[in-house]
Amino acid sequence: MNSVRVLARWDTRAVLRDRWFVSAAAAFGALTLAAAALALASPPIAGLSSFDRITATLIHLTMLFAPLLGLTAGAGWIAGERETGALVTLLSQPLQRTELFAGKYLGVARALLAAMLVGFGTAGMLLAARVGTDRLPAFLWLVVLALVLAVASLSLGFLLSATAPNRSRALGAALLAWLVLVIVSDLGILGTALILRLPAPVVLVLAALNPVSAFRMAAILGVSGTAELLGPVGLYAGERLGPAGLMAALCAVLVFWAAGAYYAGRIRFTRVVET
Amino acid sequence: MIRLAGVTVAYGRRAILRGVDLEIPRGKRVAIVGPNGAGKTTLIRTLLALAPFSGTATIGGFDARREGPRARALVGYVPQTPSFPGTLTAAEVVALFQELRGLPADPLPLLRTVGLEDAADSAVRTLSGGMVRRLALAVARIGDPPVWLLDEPTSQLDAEGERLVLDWLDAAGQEGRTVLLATHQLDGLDGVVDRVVLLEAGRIIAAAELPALHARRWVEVVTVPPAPAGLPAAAQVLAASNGRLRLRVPEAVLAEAVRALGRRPLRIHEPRLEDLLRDPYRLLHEGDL
Repeated sequence: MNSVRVLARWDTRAVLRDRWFVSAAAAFGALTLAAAALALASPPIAGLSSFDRITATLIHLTMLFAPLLGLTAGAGWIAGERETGALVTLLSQPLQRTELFAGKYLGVARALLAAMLVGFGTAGMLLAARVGTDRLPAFLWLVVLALVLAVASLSLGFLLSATAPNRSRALGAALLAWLVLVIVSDLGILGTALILRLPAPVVLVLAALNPVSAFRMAAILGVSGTAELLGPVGLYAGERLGPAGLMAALCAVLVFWAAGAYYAGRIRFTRVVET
Repeated sequence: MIRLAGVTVAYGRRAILRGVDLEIPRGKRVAIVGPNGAGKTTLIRTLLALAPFSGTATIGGFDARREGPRARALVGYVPQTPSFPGTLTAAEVVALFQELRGLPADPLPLLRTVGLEDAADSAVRTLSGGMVRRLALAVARIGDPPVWLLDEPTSQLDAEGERLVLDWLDAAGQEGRTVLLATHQLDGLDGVVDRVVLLEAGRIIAAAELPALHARRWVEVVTVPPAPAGLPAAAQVLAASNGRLRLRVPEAVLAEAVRALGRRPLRIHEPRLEDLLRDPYRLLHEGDL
């Protein structure tokens, strides 16, 4: 366990010095702040409050950036060290492969969560200063969901990295996964539902299986307190499961992705042959 | 201290090691020599459980697979191509590996032993290949492990770095350290290893204690025919054609043979240690003449 802590501490330090990660995290922070400022400055639309406008913007930003940051940071990490040979030196030390995987995962996760908290923190402070703290719990819930989505994406990134021979191939797979999760998946479900006239429960399950969609639905549900904004499928789910049940199911999907991809990656990593 | 029994490594249909048996007692320094692709690196990686293998590999009695961390706790390893996280500094790398072995972080004394104290605060990605290898040597010394597994430890090193490695190997003998060293050529390692093992195409084809190897040392002498009458009996005529006379002369009678050849022009070719190991009676290639 001590090895896991040691690796996590040093890997966090190494990630926070990685130019790509720092650039992506800075871009997320800047965009979050800019989006919050713009949403506050724009006139009210269709009765939406400043808080609603900010959270709607943040939800969309998170859907783009949290998977991108998590997938690329995770995918590049182990594969990058495999490519340079640094992984072999670490594996020659008196520790289990599972400890190495866990330490590296925790190290990157800490850096990722810190970067996201900085981004959300600045937006949160702006929100508190301009709108007040009445809706702070809803905002904090959005932050928690965003962090869980980032961790789920990181797990997926580590799964891709576990056996990838080099950083570029792992990053390529990560970007493909990002494209599928963020863009292709929703369009695919939409098209399939229209063509095959899929029933609402099937559409709901298909959509909720995607962690990005699960995050979006959970965030909208958490911020608005109702499933009405989720459309007909959301209404159906709300009626069947109730808002709390739907929220629990969506959170379970996110946690499943975070834990499931982590363990799948760990299994693959323990079996891979370092050539 | 190190034991390999029937170790076979294969990637798909390609066999890298084929039933290797090797035992290195505590305090012995063994060099594995062989051409590129012979399986030297794989053999070392087998002991670290980095390569999938059948057979048995143990270090200090600990099974390399089932008791990997305990076996690896006894080992200081220098890989063939050392590499470390590029964004960490040299001092941070040593501190990381010290902490991984449960030791307090104190990198400077170790960096001093490899002449890297001035580069302590430099990021690994800015270090030269030779400096990274020196850093790997420092990391291999962490915790004063009783076993060293060194894969081409002198490659990329300058003369001073090479001297450092040879001094360490020399001292390892007195310290009772067990060393397994992989190299593609033995030049310079004479006197700092106790035993030489020749690996070719994944098989150990010859092994010898260094003193025994020296005892049968010979040189090849090229001069002009005919063979003189006073040539020592141990000297052997290999060929006499095209105006050249080639003799194999044991080192012990070389002076006597040279005296017998008188004022003739001659050239002396010294075989490499691995040539002696491979076949003490092997002829030098024509191109060497």
